[in-house]
Amino acid sequence: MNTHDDEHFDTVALLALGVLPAREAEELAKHVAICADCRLVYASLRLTSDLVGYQEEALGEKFDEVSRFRLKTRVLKAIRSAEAIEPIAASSNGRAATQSPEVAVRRRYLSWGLAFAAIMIAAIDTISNTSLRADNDRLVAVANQQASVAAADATQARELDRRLAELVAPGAKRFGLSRGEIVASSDRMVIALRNLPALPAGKKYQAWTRKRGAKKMTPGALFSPDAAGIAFVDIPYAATSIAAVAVSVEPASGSKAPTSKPTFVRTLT
Amino acid sequence: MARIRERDTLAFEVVYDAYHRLVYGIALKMLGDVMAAEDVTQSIFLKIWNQPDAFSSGNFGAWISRVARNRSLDVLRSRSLRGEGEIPLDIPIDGALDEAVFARIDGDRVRDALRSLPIEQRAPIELGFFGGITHEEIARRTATPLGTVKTRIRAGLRKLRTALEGSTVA
Repeated sequence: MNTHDDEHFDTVALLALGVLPAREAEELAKHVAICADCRLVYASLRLTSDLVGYQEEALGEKFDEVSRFRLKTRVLKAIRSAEAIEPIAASSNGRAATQSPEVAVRRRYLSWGLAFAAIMIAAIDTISNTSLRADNDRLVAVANQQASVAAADATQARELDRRLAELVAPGAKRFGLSRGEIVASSDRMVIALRNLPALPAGKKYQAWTRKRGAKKMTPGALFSPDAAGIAFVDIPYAATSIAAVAVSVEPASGSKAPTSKPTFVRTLT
Repeated sequence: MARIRERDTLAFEVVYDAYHRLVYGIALKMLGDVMAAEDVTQSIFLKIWNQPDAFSSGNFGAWISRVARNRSLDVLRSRSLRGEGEIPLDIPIDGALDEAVFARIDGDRVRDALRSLPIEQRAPIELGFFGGITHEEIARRTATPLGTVKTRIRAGLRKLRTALEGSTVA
């Protein structure tokens, strides 16, 4: 049996939708947490409220392929940056762990006498210096490696920005694909692909074009997707001269004609 | 999520691919700004990567929708004093059955269900969720008595739930 009237449950509905003023919401939330009737009403309506957000799920033109590529690349890059910090932290911890026993040994030996301790300290210092140098070398190597990864990332980002600028140029024509799209400017095209599976060693994706009036496909660039499964492929022809574009999996050295069922074939009409 | 806790980037991508449109769409609707919507989307998915335990159980879509709304409200607040209401994240609820019923919800079903509501119920719900305003402000903007707004929101949410259950079962 309910212990509250309808007006009270109306207010619980406001809490579920998140439209109560902060102080009122805080007080009612405390009550809901301990009142079984209110919790039941709240649970039912909060889930329903949360699902209202689905109304704005961004589809089609509202969130085009290019924007989605760009945002996904940005998010994945941020994730990788977060991961890249870990090796340095691990290495630093390793150094602290190797120093600690040496300090302990040094203290113990000091109690044996000044002269003997001096010899031991000298010896331990030598070992310690060697160990620190090794740690330092390792840290420098990690830092250099990360700097080179960052530089490569920056180059890739600049290249991506350049291509995206071309893709979003006014007047660019777009041809949809199940895994991306082909964007054509006045004198060239770019195939933008996502969710491309990585291929085994010795295999690459190869782009193909069929010129208008031609019966055979012309071999194009070989490419592999990046770690996020994204690939951009340049086609140095105007869309007006091309009847169809395709991509297939081929030997890493490339083929003169497709040797496997194409990943996709898109006619440009 | 268990695989994300184990730092599996492929699992993260699966979650990202499934929910980025939802997060971005909510943020864009609330903020009206593509750059801000992208920032909110990035911050939420970074949070998922860095703190996967923030989601404990239940309907992930509903949870991330709530997080997207609250994060967008934070941005609105930083721009002005607007957007006081927030959906609490920490009231313990037992909705396992509900979560299962709504496990396969999608944008089309929600849009259809919302369209089935009378406009006087639908409008305050949408205004409240995406507008980030209190029920008092909803009453003022729609020139409706406060008590009527409260009643309509609850009645609308109940009807929406029934419509969603129907669409899920169908």
